[in-house]
Amino acid sequence: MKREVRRPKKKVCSFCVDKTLIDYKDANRLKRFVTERGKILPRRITGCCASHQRELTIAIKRARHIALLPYTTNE
Amino acid sequence: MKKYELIFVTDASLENEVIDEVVAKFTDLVKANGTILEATNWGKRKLAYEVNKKWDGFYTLITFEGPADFNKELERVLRIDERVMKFLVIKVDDKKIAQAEFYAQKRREREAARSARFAAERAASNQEAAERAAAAEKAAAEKAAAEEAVAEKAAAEEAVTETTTTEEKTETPSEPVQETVQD
Ligand SMILES: [Zn+2]
Repeated sequence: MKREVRRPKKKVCSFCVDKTLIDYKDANRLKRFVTERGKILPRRITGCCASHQRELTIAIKRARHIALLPYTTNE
Repeated sequence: MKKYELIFVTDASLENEVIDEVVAKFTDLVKANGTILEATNWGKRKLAYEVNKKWDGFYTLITFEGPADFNKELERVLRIDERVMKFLVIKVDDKKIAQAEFYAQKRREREAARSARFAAERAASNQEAAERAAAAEKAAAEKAAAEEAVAEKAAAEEAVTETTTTEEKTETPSEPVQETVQD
């Protein structure tokens, strides 16, 4: 019996690959992990592992706090 | 003593002297209670959202070492200063930074090695290409020479067969040419 399961290509956590620091000061890099309206992208889209997604979330929230990233943008 | 990072945003609509004063005030405050490891002014930047009806801020980043109880005092002073729009004090994770730096260094080395290898490969292939080009040129020259020889031979043969006709042909138009020269 062949079971067909359609799964999207498995993503590899980019922070695990690069082993770079997730820096809240690097707004340009963090921008890739938020939507156009400024919401944090979920893990199923970013492909981050649990611990890096958690770190990423903290970094984005810090960046928002010091106005490097928006909380939301209504346009 | 622990390592901290202070980032604060001064209202950029203020006079430059006032901004300098605010930056100096907090730099001195940190200095009085700990040791500054690094201080950088990012300068004026557009904010990601409006703060107190303003869109521009002057960012200052100070990395310092200080006692744990100093943070509360620092935050209190930052909070009551109305010229400071935003601030953040966080503990620096030295281990993580060192780790990231270690891998970054490794990556740089890897990239340097790779580009060196590419350069060597490119040089080798360039040389090869040059050799190939030279060989091709030589072959082309030989071919051309051979073709020329063939062509010459053919022309000679043709000339032999056509001599009678060409002689006749050349004689007839030579007369008007001579006339124009005489004129
Ligand atoms: Zn990861």
